[in-house]
Amino acid sequence: MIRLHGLTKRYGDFLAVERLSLDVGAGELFGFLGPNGAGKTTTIKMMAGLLRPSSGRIELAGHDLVKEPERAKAALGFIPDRPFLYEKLAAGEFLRFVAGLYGIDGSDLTYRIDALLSLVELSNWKRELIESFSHGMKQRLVMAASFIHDPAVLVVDEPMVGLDPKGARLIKDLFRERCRNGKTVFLTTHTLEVAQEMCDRIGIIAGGKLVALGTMDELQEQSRLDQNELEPIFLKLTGGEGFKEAELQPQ
Amino acid sequence: MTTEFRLRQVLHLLAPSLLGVKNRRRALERGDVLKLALFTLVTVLFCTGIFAGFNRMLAYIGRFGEFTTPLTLQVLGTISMFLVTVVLTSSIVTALSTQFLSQDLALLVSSPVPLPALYSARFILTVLQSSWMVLVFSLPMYAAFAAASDGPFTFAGAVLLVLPPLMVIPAALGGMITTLLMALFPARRVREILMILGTLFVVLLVFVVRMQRPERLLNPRSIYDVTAFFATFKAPSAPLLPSTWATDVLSAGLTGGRLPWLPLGLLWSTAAALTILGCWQARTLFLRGYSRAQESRPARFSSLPLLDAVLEKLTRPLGLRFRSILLKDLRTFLRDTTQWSQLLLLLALVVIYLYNFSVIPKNFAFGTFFIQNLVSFLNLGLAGFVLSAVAVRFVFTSVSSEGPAFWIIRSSPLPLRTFLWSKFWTALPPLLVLSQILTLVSNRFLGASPFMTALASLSILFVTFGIVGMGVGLGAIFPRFQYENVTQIAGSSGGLVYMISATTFVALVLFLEGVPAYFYLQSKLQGIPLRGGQIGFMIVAFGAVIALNVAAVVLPMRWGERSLEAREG
Repeated sequence: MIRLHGLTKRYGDFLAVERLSLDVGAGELFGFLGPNGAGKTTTIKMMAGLLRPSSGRIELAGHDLVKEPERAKAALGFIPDRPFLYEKLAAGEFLRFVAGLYGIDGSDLTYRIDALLSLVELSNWKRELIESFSHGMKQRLVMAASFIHDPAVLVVDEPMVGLDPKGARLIKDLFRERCRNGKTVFLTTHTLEVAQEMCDRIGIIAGGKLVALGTMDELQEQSRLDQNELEPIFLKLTGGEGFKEAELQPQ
Repeated sequence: MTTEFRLRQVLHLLAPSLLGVKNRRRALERGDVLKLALFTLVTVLFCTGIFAGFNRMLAYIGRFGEFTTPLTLQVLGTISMFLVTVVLTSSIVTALSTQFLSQDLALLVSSPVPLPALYSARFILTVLQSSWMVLVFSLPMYAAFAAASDGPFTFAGAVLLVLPPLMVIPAALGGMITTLLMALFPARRVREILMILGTLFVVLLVFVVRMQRPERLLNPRSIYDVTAFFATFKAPSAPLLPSTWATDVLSAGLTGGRLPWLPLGLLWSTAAALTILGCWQARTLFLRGYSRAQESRPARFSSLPLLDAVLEKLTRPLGLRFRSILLKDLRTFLRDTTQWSQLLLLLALVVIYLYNFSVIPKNFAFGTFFIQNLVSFLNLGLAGFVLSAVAVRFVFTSVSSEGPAFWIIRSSPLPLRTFLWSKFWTALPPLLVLSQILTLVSNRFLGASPFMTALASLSILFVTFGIVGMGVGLGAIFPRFQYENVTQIAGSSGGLVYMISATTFVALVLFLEGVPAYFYLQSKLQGIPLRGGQIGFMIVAFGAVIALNVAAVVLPMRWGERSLEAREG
């Protein structure tokens, strides 16, 4: 469902992402982890069509993002880490606007909007301007917007930032539900517990390169650690273990 | 010791802005260099144009003998008043951003920086941001005065001594007005109040210029004696206004004489006093205002079902994607109260514009038919300029007004071409209506011939397409998605490039139509029918106008689309 092939992004002399190749199948919930500045957001922005790759290919639901941008994007739902929205639109109007961008209209739309607002627990806010929403509410609204065209692929950057425990639980359930229905979810997160709890497979990126890929068991094997927690595995694979040990040394 | 310490702190607080400028220069890419080069080129060309225009005007005034000096001083006084009003208006809005709404303020206010130091640093930014454009465009005007004066170096010295306090005084006043309003009202309300205040100031400015009744120049025979002449051009000046002090110093500089110390001293001491007063005010009111700026109003939104239903119905025949963007833009526009003040300004502008034509004397000194039709033709240029000014605020900003939410468009399957053309077709109808009102009503007031009226109406129709196309296209080439209020987009360097390009485009259309219009007027005046060659030339000229207009729509739109596609992030 998602195929990244030799994906590279340069900013001048700086290589942000280097020859990244990855396949994520239908019904899979994939976690994309890495330390700050590793290239996660750059990769996600390339997948959402916000950044152009310097080289390499991105295929979403079988469509090349550069050659067939409209078809590829029609199969994509994108949730950025910071939910910038049209502050002067009401929640319902915003969803109708996004539906229009994806060519969705008709009598069912109102029902669909109501259902999505109910799903993200914003039904009472349908007629309220987005400018009065909290961060978490905006995040949930973006999520509803990304579901409006029922995309085959959902790309999510840091889904849990700013969410209360209830909102976080809601999002986890929604993602799982989508995967059960054969859709693909590709998410980045810094919350390792979330990745461990939710993801079928995990890819770890460091310095722009994919340094590890697999299920929890496979990652454990690759790291040669006898622990079933993701944190020590992540720190070892990304070179952060030394830092952690040094930090814990008594002064 | 304390002062030195604060000065160092002020410089430290300014460091992020200075470093930002330096780093932006270091991170320039090929496209940016090209944009910068284009911007510099058009600015230099425009400044040269301003210089040439003022040079000609001063040469023209020079032919009036004994009236030359009072008229020159009159123009100088008007420029000073214009500068003060523009900086005051601009600083009121700028101070809102720099002093209360900037995102870095959370960091700065939570740090142990003394408030006067913080205020001073922000004040310097307010002065620079609200006056740089005024300074850039006033310098060629003053250069023209220097060239025409008896002592160019004395005049240049006078300008250098006058401009800094003349910029600081209105900026300090503007900053203090903003601080006071912020301490008294909730932030959202202040923003709306400021926008309306700013608009009223601009309307006031237009009326100040209007009060001088320049149309009298068209009919010198109506001026019976010197006293009446001076009464006609009496400036609405006051001895307590900084613009009057500035004019006193500059007029002394013009004659190459000694600069008067009293007005110069008044200018500098007032600037210093207002700066200190601003620091004192900040110490007492800033935190209260900043605290209020954090308070958000729980905006319970009551929708307007009737308006929504009408909009939905009216746009039903349009394509779904176009309709979605159109409805979103309309709703966003109508709900943003800061836009209303701009509409108010637009209305005032149209009324004053048309009023000007209604008061132009009907019995001209130089032959009624010729003047009526010549003014009608030149009105085309003026209407084009007014349209460009409206378009820089409402059309050029249309792409940038997507703001940080532009990711929604970018990540959707909507082609950028469709997005840009939606913006084009949304902006075109209101501007077409406005352009036709400006042209047809003013031509009626002028009593222009049916041919000239039709020529003006048809030309402005084409010109409007070009102005809108350039607005959307250049808005996409120079987008600014991070802004605190929409006026910043129009006032950006890209907005300036657009204004200059649109004005040049209108001038080119006028140039191409000038000869056909001349042929027509000559044939009417002399009572000789147009010759075959003349008609052929007219057809070629009108063809060229159409080609120019098509290019003005298609090329910027295409370049804008490419630029947005190549945009990272």
